[in-house]
Amino acid sequence: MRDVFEGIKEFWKEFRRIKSGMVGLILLIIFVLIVIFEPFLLAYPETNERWNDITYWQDLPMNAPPVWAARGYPASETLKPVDFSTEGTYLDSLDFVYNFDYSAPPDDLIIALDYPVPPSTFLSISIEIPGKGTITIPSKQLPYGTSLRIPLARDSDFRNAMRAIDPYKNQMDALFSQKGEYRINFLFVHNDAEFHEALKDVRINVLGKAHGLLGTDAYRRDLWSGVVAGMKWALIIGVVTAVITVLIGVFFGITSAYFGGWIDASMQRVYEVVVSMPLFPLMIVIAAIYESSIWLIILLMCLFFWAGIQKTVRAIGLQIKEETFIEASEGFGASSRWILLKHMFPLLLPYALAEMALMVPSAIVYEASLSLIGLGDSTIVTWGQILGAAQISGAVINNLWWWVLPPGIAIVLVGMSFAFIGFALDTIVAPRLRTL
Amino acid sequence: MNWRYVARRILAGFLIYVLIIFIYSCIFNAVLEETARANIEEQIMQEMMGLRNVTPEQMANYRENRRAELYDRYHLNEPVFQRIIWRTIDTITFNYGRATSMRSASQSQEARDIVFEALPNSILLFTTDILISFTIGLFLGLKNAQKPGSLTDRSTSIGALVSMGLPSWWLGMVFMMIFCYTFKIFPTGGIHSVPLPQGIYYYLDILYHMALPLITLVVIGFWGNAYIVRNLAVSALQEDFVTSARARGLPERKVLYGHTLRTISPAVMTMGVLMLLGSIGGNLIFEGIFSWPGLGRVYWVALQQNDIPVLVADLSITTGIFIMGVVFLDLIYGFLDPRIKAGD
Repeated sequence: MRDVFEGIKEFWKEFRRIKSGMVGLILLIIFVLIVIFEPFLLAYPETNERWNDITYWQDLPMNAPPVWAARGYPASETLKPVDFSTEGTYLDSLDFVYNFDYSAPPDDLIIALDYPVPPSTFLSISIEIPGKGTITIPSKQLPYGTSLRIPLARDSDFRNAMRAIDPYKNQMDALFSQKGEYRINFLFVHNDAEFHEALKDVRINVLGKAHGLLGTDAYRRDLWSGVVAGMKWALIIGVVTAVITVLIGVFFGITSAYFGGWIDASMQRVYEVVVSMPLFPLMIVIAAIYESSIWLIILLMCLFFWAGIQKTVRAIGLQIKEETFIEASEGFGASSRWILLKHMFPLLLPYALAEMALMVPSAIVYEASLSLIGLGDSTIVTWGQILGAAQISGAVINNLWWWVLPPGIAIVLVGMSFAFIGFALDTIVAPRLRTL
Repeated sequence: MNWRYVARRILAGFLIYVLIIFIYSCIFNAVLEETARANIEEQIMQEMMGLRNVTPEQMANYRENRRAELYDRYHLNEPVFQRIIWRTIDTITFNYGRATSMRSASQSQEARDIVFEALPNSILLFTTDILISFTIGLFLGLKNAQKPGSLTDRSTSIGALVSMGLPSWWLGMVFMMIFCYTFKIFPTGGIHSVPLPQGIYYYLDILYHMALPLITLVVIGFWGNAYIVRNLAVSALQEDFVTSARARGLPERKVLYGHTLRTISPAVMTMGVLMLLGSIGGNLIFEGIFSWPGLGRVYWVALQQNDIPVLVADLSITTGIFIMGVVFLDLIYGFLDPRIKAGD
């Protein structure tokens, strides 16, 4: 036990001296922290379950750039009532304040409340435009039984009211013609005590011209949440594939080397067949014909990637096999399984670790490539799928860089961190293998 | 170099090809037969529309007879195993069947024509890329090997590590956004302009369309090559024969390109062919981003139109080229490395 501890300590000492390896390790720690704190980082908590559910994202603007890249444009925000007063049973009046100080109007104002509207409820809206007086949208009966949701820009009464102010402008441009403080008043007439209680949660979702940390895509999805949610899948795909693949490769290689003879010969024939199949095109056709899922993708990668390392493992294995301690062990009557597991595998373990880290980037790129052409697992959020959606929606043509750049950079960064770690491990391990 | 070795290696490659096509046939036979049946039904429908003055009974009879006849012709009545064997034979002889909805430029419905039409375009793009990346990688790698630890050397290894996890198609999307839409330097995809230019301009036009995909591939590709060449050359430069060559007063250039390069050439050639295999393995779908009409784009279009025969045809051709690459790799190795003898 103490030996193992000392070994790790020494290994760490060597590892620490390789700068790129440390950069990779720090990046990896950040990635793991992102996965752990994902619930706190997601701007929309149901991103994972409802990424492809358009109703979940309907209150977000479409194709909005990130807030930091679009200064001077209104960002998305949620307005809460500043004042709530009641007369009788019930005439509820709510006041909202929106400070408008931008060069373009927001895309829409959505009045929303997650509570079923009772029958015979009426709403009238008045908006005070700074320096221009008040406009009133005539009272109307709300559809009942469902939660309240009125997108103002698409409301015909509002549109008519705006047309009266300026018939030549689009309704939002007409409303936000002045900078300053807009006061919005809702007057609800109803006769339901519980609804009266619920009303103080009424909010106005301002659909900005800019949204969140990374903007939104053509399906109104919040890209920051998407990129954060994709992190864990990138790590899972990369690590699971790499670990299984390398274990298969190592055991295939040492078994082939240790037994030799016809076992070796036939195993090498199997290897030749596997290595002669172009994996990616094959994955395309299999995923197209059979229903694609993330585990099928991982399985296919595991079935093929091992071929990349088994040749080296076999060569090292042939060397180890000639060592005297193996002979001694055989002399004591050790079984071949014992020799493979207890003598040969531990010697190859450091090499295997380095290979695992180096295999992660390709696994992530393969999954992303499959997702790009629409063969990914649609029940999860991966960076490849975000990029695939960007590709078919013409994000490149429309220069929606906030949709194309972040997922790709994320893929590169994760791949890079593992490549750096693998390179550092390899630098430490390679000389040891040579002097074996 | 022994011709028997060459012949044996090629034969082994062909056998592996046959075996893999057999495996494909096992996996994809069911779904291919489904499309074949649908095609037959459609064909019968077409024929029946041309029938005149027939009773409904005759119609039904005609359909039955025709179906039996066509099933016989396409071996659909035989047991599963034999059908798979037939499928294997058909695939090896390039009889992939008819595409469901895709057409070749010459309006042919044969899956074979669609794929063979795309093949030269892929070869043009990827061999050009490999030649350029290979050359840059070779010279950069040798230069770095002379001064290991220098700034270019270290940045090359970092570049090589970063490019491992860099999807070529993503870089393609980014470059396209920059160079096709923001600064309108390059065409936005395809291989020809409309109208088609004539004479020398025809080829210049292809070059112009190929420029950005090529730049993207090279920008990603050369790092890894330079890194491999550098590692090979660094260890070769420590050998005794290099010291003795230097002691004899040979100029450094001769030591590097004459002695070192000759020693590492088998491994360097391997690298080149491995690059080719890598392109076929993973880079093919890159073509879709640039609408480059090659094998990779055929995968995209066939997927969109759910054209299974074309997909399988594309896969078989890709596999064939892939295996040719693997065989070529072995032959080059045997040719350049005299230690590898026939029969090994």
